[in-house]
Amino acid sequence: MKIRFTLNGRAVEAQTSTSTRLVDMLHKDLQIKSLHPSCYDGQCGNCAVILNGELVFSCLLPAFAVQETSIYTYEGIVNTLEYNDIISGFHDEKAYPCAYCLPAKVVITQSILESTLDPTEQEILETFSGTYCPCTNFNNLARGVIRAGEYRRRRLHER
Amino acid sequence: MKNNYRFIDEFTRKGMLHIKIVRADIPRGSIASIETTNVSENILVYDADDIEGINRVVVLQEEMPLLSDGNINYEGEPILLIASEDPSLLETAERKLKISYETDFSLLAFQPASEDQIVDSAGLSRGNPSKAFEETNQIVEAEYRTTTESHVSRAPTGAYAEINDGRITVYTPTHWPFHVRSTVAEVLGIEQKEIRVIQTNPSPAYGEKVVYPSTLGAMAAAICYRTGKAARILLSPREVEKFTTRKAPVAVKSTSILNEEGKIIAHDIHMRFEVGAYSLFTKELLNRAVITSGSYYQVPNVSITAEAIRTSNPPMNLYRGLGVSQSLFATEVHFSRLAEFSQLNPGDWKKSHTKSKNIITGSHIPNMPLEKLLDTVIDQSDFYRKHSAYEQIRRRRNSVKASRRFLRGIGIATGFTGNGFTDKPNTQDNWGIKATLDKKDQLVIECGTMTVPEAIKTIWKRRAGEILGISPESVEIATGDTDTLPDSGPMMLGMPVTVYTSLVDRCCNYIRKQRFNKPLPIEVRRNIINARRTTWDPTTFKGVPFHNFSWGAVVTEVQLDPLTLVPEVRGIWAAFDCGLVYDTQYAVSIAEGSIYEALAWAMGEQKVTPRYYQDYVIEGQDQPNLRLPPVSVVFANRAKGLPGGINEIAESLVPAAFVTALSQATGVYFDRIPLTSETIQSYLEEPS
Repeated sequence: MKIRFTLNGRAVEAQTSTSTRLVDMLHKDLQIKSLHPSCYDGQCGNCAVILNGELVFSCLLPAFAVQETSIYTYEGIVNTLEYNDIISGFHDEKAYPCAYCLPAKVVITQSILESTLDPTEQEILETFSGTYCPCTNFNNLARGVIRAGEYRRRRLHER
Repeated sequence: MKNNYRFIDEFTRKGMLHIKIVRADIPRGSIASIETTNVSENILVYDADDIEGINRVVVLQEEMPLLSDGNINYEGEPILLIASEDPSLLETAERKLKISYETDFSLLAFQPASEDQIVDSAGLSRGNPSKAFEETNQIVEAEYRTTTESHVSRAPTGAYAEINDGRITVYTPTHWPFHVRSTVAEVLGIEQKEIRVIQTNPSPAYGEKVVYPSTLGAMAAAICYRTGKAARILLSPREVEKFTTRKAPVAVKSTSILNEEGKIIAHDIHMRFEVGAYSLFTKELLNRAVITSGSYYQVPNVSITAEAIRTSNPPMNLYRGLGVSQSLFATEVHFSRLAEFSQLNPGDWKKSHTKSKNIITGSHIPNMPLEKLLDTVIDQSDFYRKHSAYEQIRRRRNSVKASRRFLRGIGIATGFTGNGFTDKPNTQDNWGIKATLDKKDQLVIECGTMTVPEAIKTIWKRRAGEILGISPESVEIATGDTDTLPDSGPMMLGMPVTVYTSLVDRCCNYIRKQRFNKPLPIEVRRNIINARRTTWDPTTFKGVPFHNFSWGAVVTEVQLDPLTLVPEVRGIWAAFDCGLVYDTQYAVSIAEGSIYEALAWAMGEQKVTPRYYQDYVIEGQDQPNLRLPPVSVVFANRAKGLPGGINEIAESLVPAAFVTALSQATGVYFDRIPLTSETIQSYLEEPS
């Protein structure tokens, strides 16, 4: 079947089947290489995307479910000021995700900051509870997200 | 070519062959026949007889076959490789292969194990332990066990090989590119100079990226060499978890004699590690276990032996901690028990044993930091007050099940781990690094081992900058290509942060001295081997076994729900002396991460993420109390000496402190990990 949706702000059309997962379609057909299809059960979080403003793990969704939706991945965030906020926050708090999980951590952080610029540690841990990579300490990560929120608040207020 | 940061699953080429490993269905036996007649002609079938060189992977005098030589020693052992341009054909091809076995039902078990299963052993003896045991009848005896632990690294594991200008290039996420090269050369029967190995992004790893990529690299190279086509092998997450490597389980028998003051007169430790069907790095594992279990406790009569036991399970000894986390768990739980038998507070008992300046090997530690570390964690955790209070509450309580309150306990553990190998293995190659200062005052440090973590790169840059008086920004670090870089050995056992850092120092000091005597560029290479042989005797276990030490003390406070028997960690206080720490905040972050990992091992969880803390609800709260256990980490003496490893010491002490805390909470002697609510229940039901 053919589906249409918006990917990182651009209208795209893709051919897919009913048994294809969203992560496979994005990774293999649309060359979104920041997504890593690895666990296929929503455990690792390395396939996180923002779908119509909501954080979802794309390994748990069938590809056809994204018809007429808007999806943002790491590639859509990486060249924005929002990305700078996130990376600055991570850097300040010594949260250094590895190259494998960094895209997912950026996408999840972006989704948190889209809902609030002043997240609590509890909210952050809840949102990150569907991810796992041994590279990063959760405490630093939580502080990094809070710091990223501060950067974004400051940037928006300065405007 | 900037391939260092690509993942192995991103390597692809039109016409590339995809490789699948056909694995043994039985745990032990031999192959009677392999029938391939039903397999499509489009599928390449490759077995041990097709190997043009030698069918083996050699690691420091130990080896295992690349493909089964006819014997099966564990379920999942590679028998054949099948390859095709269309990966979807491989599943069908595997089903059409008919492999018949002659099953050997006498599986090699860990408990009990026969003498024939002992692969290797190590040990030391001081004083006269046999005589001491004959002369007394006040003996404390216990057996401790730890189970295996598998890793959950999600990054792809595999290898890609192609032929460029008549040479084979292998890409793989290895922590030891030169081992990949030597393995490929031996398997293909060609010279090492015909092979180039480029490291791809290994991501966080627990030991599975040290040797296993050599196996996969040899497989991909073998198919590529045979067909002339590019070839790629990718393991599934299940294969990585089951067949690469995992932590070696251990059974430790500890027997001690105490005098009236609570001092240990004699001590006998007998450790048995399960290493699976093939053992790798066994000598190092045993050496480290013996040294760290002997620890800093000055016992006049001591005997320590460690044995590696071969079983019918997949190979499982090469894992982060390499014997140390297991041996320190047994030692520290046992010594906390001895303190209790002596009717002394375990904090005081351990402090009374830190007066010596020597460890078991006789290695002199002029600034033994343990007393200071113990004082730090005891003060921060309010250990004395809590220990006494929990002890009194426990003594007044009738039974665990009858209690209406959380049962609380607090435990303490101390010890050290070593950085670097205990002995440089006999190999023709010297492991080292190279540094070159050019005319523009740019320094290039070449290390052939790995994609060096950013934190360690920062340390090297800062140290080089300080020694040479140049800006850290003008220091470049090159890694991960066997064509251009020196062999720096494997990335494990704290080598990068300690051993390579000392080599960076030596290179830079040489350049500093020569800088105004010789014209630039000045190039220097320094190897690990030279200084080590004079200070350590591996046959007698005397001398300085490691490049440097990491010391630590950890207190863990727990509470147990008497109804669900779910343990909860109320707090962890840790103090470490890991030498020079440039970035304390980052060091604390690493230590915290390792503490959470260790806690997950001790509590039998897959891994600690916030998800695992959602299960209990505090009364009066609507939302689950989602939080990580609070951890406090302090680094002592952080302005001195060489930097040391943090991960190993942080994760080695937590399980012992956790188990002794639970023992105090319940009054039951726990002697194994993991401790889940089910195992706690089984202990409580045992007759006391």
